[in-house]
Amino acid sequence: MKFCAVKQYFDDENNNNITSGASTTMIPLPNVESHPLAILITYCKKHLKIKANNADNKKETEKEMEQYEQELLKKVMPQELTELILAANYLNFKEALDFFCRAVASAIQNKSIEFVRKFFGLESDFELGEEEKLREEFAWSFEGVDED
Amino acid sequence: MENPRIFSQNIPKDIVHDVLKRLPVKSLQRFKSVCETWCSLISSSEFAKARYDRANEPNNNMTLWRCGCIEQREDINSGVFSAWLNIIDYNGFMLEAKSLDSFIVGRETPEILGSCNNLLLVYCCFYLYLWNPSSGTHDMFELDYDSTDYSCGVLMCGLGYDSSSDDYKAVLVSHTESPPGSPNNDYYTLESFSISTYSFRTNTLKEIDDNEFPYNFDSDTQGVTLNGAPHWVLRREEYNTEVNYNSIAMVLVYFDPAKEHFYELPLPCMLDKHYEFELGVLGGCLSLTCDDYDPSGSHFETWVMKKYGVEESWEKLFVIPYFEEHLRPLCFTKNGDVLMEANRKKIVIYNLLNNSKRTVIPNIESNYCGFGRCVYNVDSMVLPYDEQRLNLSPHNDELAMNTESEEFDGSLMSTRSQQSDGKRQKRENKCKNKMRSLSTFARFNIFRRGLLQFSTSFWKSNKRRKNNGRI
Repeated sequence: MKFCAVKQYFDDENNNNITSGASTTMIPLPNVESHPLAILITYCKKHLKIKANNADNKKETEKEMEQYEQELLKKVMPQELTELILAANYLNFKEALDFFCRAVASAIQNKSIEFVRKFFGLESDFELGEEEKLREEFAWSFEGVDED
Repeated sequence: MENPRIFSQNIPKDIVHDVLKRLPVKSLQRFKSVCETWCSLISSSEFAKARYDRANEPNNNMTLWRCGCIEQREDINSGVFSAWLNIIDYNGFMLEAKSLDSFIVGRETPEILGSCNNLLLVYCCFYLYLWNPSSGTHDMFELDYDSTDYSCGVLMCGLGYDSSSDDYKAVLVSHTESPPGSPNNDYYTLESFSISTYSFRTNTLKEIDDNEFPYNFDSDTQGVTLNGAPHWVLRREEYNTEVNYNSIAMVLVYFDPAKEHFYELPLPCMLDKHYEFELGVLGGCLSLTCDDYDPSGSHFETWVMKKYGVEESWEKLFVIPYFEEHLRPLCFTKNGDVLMEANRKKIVIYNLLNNSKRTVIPNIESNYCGFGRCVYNVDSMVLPYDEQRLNLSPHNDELAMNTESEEFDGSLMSTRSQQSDGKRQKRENKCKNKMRSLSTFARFNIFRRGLLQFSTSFWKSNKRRKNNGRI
């Protein structure tokens, strides 16, 4: 189910107001900006379309979806990934959230600690010497990391 | 990515978790140093469980994997030996123990020489067995030998599956050696090679006239089966006339059971100075483990070949600081810990994210001669067959749906597996007689690790090749 939050809204609406017409209802989404919302709507539509085209063939659906996702990633700016994640989370759009988390994971996978701290807005809060110890213990995991 | 935008501080924690649990071990180990919160998160057991839940998606067959380990127990009062397969499942705990005594004869500790799909190749006292631990059915093959010859030999075995003929085949490569004290020196001298395959479907032994086996191996060379083919790491020795010694190169070799031929695979070029490798299959990929030294001490590294046959796809998967003399990773448990054999004596589980370990089976070394041989992945998926029939269909999602057409005619198998006590007693006596007729020297050598006693007239129709190399 896509856009669960919206569906919830409709369900609530129907319970309260029997005569309301779905097509004219305006749904307030205060926490989502227009740009990420537009992308999510496009993503959703594309997903449903691909699913309909390949009704029986699950593998085809997955393949086409993957191709679309690859292309989408090229167009989306990295900064927008965070907004998209927040939007998908708010709208309770599981598939999109899953996809964007995957994208962030593969983006940061081979990056340095400093990069990751910057990306997530974190600071080192270790006691003196603790970080050094960790770095030494897992020294090999620092090999071959992308340069910042 | 340049200029990453900073996440606003309201990012829900569980989204950060969601991103983190998709990362490989190497990244997670590194990111422990990001901040205190991440460090405790990554080391926590809830996180391990979350990684598992994500990994255990419908098409992941983790629940079907088992790890089997032979143990020989002696009853102190009666002196009777019993052989058991201790089975560990993907949770990392011992599930059960299955007895081998219903089909094994002889006092030797059985050894697992190979495994393929849900079958094990077991050797004990001159017999090779193909055993399905889940259903208990088995097939056997008697290794013939001549008791008068006391030269000892080295045998390398592997179990494979030929999908073109729906046949499980054991490949047996042996070379005989003359014992020390012979004119040459203190070392064993390589005498000759012999290669055969045994088809469990037709129950026939066939010698392979394979002149292209320019390799050598030691008595403890252990292989793994991947994609139905047994793989080993072998030595290729080339006699260099200029400098008058053998140069040694390690090679990854596999046996194609359909073509009945040996082929090579590329080793990672970064490991070309290493000579001792442990082979394994991790996450469906061939893995190599070796030890290495760096300024901080020695450690074990495990590499996997992510794309089968592609040299560039070799990747260092993880590093474990030295804590035992010998480590052989066997498989991953459900939350990403590594199940491994340590020092050829015990089975431990190692947590890569916090470097902690737990012993699952403390001591698998038999207290009698011989070795409670090691541990293998055993896929124990039980298909809905009549228990009397030996299940020879490979574990495969597609095949699982077409089991009707793939069933092997197990009638021959069921006769053997239900053999009467009389037959078994006969086998038992035959085995005892064989053991008695061995010379003292030979009897001593039979208990040397991995060595099987057999003669130069071992194979029925043999072709000898002289190998001028020295071990």
